[in-house]
Amino acid sequence: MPEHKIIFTGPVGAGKTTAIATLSDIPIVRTDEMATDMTARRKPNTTVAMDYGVMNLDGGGRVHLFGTPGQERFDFMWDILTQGGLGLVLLLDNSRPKPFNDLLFFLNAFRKFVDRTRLVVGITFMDERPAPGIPDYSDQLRALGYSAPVFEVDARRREDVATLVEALLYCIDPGIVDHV
Amino acid sequence: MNDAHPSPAGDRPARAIPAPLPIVLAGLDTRMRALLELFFAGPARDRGRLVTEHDQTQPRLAIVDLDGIDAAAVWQDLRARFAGPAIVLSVSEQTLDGAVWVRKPLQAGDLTAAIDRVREDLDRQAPPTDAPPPSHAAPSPAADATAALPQQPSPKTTAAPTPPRHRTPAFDLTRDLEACYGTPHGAHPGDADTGRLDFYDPQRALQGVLQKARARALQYDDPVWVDHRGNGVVLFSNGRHALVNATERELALLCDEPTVGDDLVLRPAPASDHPGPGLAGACDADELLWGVALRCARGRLPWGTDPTAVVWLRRWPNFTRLPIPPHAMQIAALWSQRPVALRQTSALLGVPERYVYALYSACLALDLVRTESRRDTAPAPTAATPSAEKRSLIGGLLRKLKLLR
Repeated sequence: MPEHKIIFTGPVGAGKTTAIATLSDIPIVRTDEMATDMTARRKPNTTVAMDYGVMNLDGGGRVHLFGTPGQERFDFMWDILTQGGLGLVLLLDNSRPKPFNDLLFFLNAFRKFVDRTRLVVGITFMDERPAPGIPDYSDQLRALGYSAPVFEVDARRREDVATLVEALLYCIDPGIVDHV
Repeated sequence: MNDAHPSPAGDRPARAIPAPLPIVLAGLDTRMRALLELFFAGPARDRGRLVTEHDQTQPRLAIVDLDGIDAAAVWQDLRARFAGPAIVLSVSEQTLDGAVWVRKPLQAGDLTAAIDRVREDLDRQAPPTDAPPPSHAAPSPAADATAALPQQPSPKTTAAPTPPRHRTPAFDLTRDLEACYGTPHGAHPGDADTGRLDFYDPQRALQGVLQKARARALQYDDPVWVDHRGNGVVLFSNGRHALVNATERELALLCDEPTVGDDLVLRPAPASDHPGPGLAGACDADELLWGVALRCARGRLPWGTDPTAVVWLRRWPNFTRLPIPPHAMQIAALWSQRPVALRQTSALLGVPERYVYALYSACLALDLVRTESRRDTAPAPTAATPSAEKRSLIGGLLRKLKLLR
């Protein structure tokens, strides 16, 4: 049976673990631990290895959902995680001080992967801090050569995360509906 | 003229000293709260006085510490109860709507400057008519009063007619699919599957009026009211919010009018409908315009559109916060990857033209698409077509995701 994976990445506290949990058919496998560094202020627990969930499809297919460790000191795992991935879901926390820096950082970190697959961007915590807005992110991405979907996302809302992943799949193949 | 308070400048009339602003505190620890009690009992007693939920006076300003571990909850709780301006104290820069950031460690001068700024904003929004006499009452014992429940600001009298206070939050004008996208049998005048092209004129429809009002509000930095017999829509000067003083049905009927004519008049919004920092009751202006454009277009193209011109997507619609028309996601994906003619989009994706035209019209209303007047001669999509196995898996995943949303 075909199996593929989708990678969720973004800074600490952006909602990766929550987003995977909203889609996964199994209880998410978490590798959270108490944060002991400056991330503790934003999030008492942080992902130190990865999060894992799975979506079971009709006919026996499965899609694995992996969340990358949020802290940069675990970035050695990112290359391994992306191997065989369908695409990248980048979640950015709009309430962080410099979210465009986060965008740039993760695009650089996953550039090779994104260049051979597809990217979608979900902006979280826009209710706490509305600026920068979705158009601002789109313009930043376009300036960097990407025309990826950018949506406002509440990682706790299944319909938000599902819409984001749906956009990723259509970006992989806009004509896919013929084959559904 | 108040002789008791001569103007320092000497040649200007003296102004009455404004009453101290009633201030509520939120998210502060005991030490910080005690400091602010001292501050407002002493050097800043003319600028503010602390109030609690037990006071008769409703707060006009909140001071909130956003460095606590539960800062997000504190902010949300405050905003649920108090829509007025806030001063946020934090070590890192905060740019929250309706809030002024003051860096920690807190300096008295920074805080007084922030309070003065808030007062100026409040005065601008509500020019004082009969200012109350200055009050130098001793401040109340302060408490962490996130539970204080201020009332909505009372409507101010203005010469202009005042829209009713009925305010519709988010609504969906696209629920009726036929009304928005036509039918495949040509029963609807907007249908395009019959091979006959049909157009509409956005500028003469409600869509154009709202777009004009939004542009004017942005240009003059003042809210604009689209007055429809005393009801209607107020577009705020931030370009992002609107107040709808009409039912969904009333709005839908207006959308169905090809020419709205003199039914709608653009006016300066009454002061009572100027947005407060909390924007209570406001809806998203993009969401409003998106729904109106879909409903006005009804699967048709804006007048003058060349269906052979190529289209490309500047930005994706924010599909998690907008109604998603049928096939919109795959059309957007195609347009985001390369310029494609409208008619060719339909052929490439096997999607009825009316859905392509509907999405194009709505995207155009939000300035999300660009067209170029050249015929589409581009080759098929350059992205490598996924393997059959992968397509099968993606198809299965799409089916599942559509069930989830």
